[in-house]
Amino acid sequence: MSATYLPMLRIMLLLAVCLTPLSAEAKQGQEKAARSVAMILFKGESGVEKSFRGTLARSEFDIHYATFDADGSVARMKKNLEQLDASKYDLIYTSGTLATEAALQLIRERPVVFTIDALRSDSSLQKNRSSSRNATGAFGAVSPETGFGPLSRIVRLRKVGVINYYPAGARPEFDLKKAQERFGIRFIDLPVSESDSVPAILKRVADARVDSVLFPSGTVAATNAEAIMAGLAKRRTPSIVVTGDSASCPHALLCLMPDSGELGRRAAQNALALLRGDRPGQVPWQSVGTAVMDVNPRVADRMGISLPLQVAALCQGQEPAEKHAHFLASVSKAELLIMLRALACMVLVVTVGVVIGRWDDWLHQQALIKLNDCIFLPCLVFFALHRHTFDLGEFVQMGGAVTAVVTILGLIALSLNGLKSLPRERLIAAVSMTSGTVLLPLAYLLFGVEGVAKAVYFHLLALFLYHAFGSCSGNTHLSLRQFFKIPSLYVAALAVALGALPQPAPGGVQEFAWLSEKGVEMTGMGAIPLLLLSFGYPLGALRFSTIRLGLAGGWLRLIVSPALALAVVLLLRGSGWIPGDLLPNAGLRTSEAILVLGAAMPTSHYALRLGIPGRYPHGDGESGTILLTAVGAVFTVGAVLMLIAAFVLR
Amino acid sequence: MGVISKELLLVIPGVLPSLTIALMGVMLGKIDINREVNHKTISNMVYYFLTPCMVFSTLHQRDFDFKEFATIGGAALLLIVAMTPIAFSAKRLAKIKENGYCLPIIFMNTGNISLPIALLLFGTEGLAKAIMFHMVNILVLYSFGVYLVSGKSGIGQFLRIPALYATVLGILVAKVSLPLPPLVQDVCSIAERGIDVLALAAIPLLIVDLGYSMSQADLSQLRNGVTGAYLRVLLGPVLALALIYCGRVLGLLPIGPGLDPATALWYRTTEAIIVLNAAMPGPIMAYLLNVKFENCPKQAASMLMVGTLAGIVTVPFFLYVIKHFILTG
Repeated sequence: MSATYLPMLRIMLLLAVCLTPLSAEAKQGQEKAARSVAMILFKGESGVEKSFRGTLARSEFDIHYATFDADGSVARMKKNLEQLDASKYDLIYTSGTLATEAALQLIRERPVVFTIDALRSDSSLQKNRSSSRNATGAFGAVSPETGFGPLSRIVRLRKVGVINYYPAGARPEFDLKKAQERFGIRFIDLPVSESDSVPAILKRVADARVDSVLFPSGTVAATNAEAIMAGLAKRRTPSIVVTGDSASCPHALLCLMPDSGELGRRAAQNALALLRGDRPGQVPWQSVGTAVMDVNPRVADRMGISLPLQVAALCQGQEPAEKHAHFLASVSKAELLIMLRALACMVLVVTVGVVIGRWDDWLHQQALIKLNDCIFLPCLVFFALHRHTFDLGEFVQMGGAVTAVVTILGLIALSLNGLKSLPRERLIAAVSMTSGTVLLPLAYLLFGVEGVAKAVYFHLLALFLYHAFGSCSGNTHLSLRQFFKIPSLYVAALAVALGALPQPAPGGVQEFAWLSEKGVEMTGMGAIPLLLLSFGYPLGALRFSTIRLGLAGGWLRLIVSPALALAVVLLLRGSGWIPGDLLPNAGLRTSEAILVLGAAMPTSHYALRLGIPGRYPHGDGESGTILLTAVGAVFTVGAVLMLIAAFVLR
Repeated sequence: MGVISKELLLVIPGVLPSLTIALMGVMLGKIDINREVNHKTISNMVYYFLTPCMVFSTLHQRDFDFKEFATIGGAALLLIVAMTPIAFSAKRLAKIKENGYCLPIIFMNTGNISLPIALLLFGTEGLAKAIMFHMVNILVLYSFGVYLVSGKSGIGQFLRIPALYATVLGILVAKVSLPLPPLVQDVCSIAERGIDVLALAAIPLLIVDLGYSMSQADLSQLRNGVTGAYLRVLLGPVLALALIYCGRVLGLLPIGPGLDPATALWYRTTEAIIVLNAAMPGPIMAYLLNVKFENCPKQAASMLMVGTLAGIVTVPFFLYVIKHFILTG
């Protein structure tokens, strides 16, 4: 039976394959229905209009457009609308609140499709929404909450002033309480009216002692926002703005905008429904909550804020994908500058450490170690972790990855030892990375406080592994008992526990807690240069003639280790453990970056001190490895950062 | 009303974080039985690298205003001039011959304690003003102060202060804008970033160092310095308040409802910085000069100790006065 039907089935399939292109061609040959659309624009065509046109171009209609651009002039826009013969067009497209409101007043006989970046609650369009039977479209509904995540990666947020330019009783259009609970931020209302002078508003902001000022949607157009933002930037208070166009806010640090592509697409869907015969009242308005953000690096520079690499990459990542000649070309100039600044800064501070060491004849490194271990490092750990949301899954992933990297590296080192290429005494120097003195400051310089939080996890995990390894190998100086004597471990546990607690009651108690934290924060920040100084302090005592003895260990430390870490990250991604979305998963990307960066660190003094007491830093092999990796890391870490920017943060 | 009153809240921000850090320094001093934290290493680091970096980092990022410098520097000079006869009278009353006794009364600790409070209470604007006061204070300490204890001019010492060159460089960078090519601008911004990072450690290390030193103090010697210390921390700010009153009357420090809020804020911050610095105890550097020239070091040490301990009460009190009579007065 099946043998009889098989040739017939084959013939039918062949026919179907052959006829498919013919039917497609026939479809293409069909005439598209012609329609005309008038585009009423306030200031040129943006990505929204491009997306609008693109969606309509893929429809069954052949659209002819007539564009009326007011070039930013309200008078010209009104004139354009008055002179418009709406009966000539099937549809009127308007861009922005001003154009839409004016069009609805003048045009009755044709449907209007609008796109609005941010719909204000007190706009006449919103008020007459139910009676606006002639209009439909899409509007941006970006919650300012979206911005707090990225902004908290750039600046410390405790108190945020909210410019309140709303009618009495109306609240800004986002859930203050929810944001307060989620981010632990206190919001201060800053009422603004047209009659307020800019200096008076600035004084009000200064009196409120806020960390940053939020301009909710609509306030940019309605208040003297640009002058206020310029004044705030001068006083180093960052502004976060929900707007449609970041170019209109040159003094804002962070602009949140609705996704222009999505806005145009949604408006086009409504337009298509109208062109197919639906009435505007039957087509519901669409809101677009997807946000894109833009950080202004010039403003950040003026405020003395260092932009974290993951935020720069985030802004870059939102740009339309372009084909690059090679992967390194995808790294932006802003990202390169951040990397260069961090590396140069690290080299400068380490060099100062070398100078201090020489002055001291290397006699007092213990002073720096004691200061760091007992005060500065615990403060940095607490400062980084207590406001960071602890994610057990992420911690386990990082723990697994660090273990995998260290174990494989250890096995390679042991194999080299077996081949007589790497003496046993240099195994620790080859495997141990300086996860504290260099990684923590570098993580701060590159990824901000979020980077430090992840680097702290890496540091503690790495320390645990060395001590566990030492414990297993019978080394009396590397034991788990030693690990449990590290003050930062307990501070990290305390910070994570405090971070898990619900936010303290608002008012005095919260304020008191913040003030105590301020001292810890100041000291924690002091750890950034002190750790690097501590790393540089003994380097001057090492002899360059020993470098050749450290070649095998240095090669493992600087080349094999980051390559292994990168492979582990790509493996985790390939296995689907780590999701690919950019904005919601920026935290995971930072973890991956820290993992690769941590693996590329030079040899640790700490592990060496524990592993070979009494001989530090005079063992030639170990000295050679330390010196080689310290000097070589300047170049290899640079290369690894390029790889991170190109592969991990994209 | 919360647990803490609003008035208290305005005073605490300047003091509590510094106290927290100082306490950590004291604790470190107590647990460091073997004295592994070498004081000279820390001092060299702060003196030669971190403080100059902080000075440059603060000054180069803002416009330099000569009028502001003249106001703050003039006030610092006047306060030193006013305290000098008082210090000499106290010396005569205490029947002490050495001039070293006067140094902790005349001069103020404008570094360790004042700078962090200025930063915490008045932001970078306040820190920049406090640095100007600090520079004038140490200029006079290294010239007039050295002359008092050694009989020789200390201008050579003064010219060896790294922070002096950082100040000049910071002002130059802020004032002179050269049309540099983009590449050079990028290189400069990288160097500035490095200096900014080094500056991060200056204030906490200054306070930790102060706390560490205090943990070693001999409490039995405190009696010797009570008079001098109280003259410093009580009479100093009173003189500063009088100076500000005169400035307001003479129109040098204008006040009134018609004043632009931003300008008013500028003047009030300047006044606050003057009173804050005047309320500081004697400087550690004065003690070090006394030790170097063997000029009454024991009394100086106890004056510093009593003054610093008394500052825990007097500084918040004068911050409260600043809030009520200067910022909102």
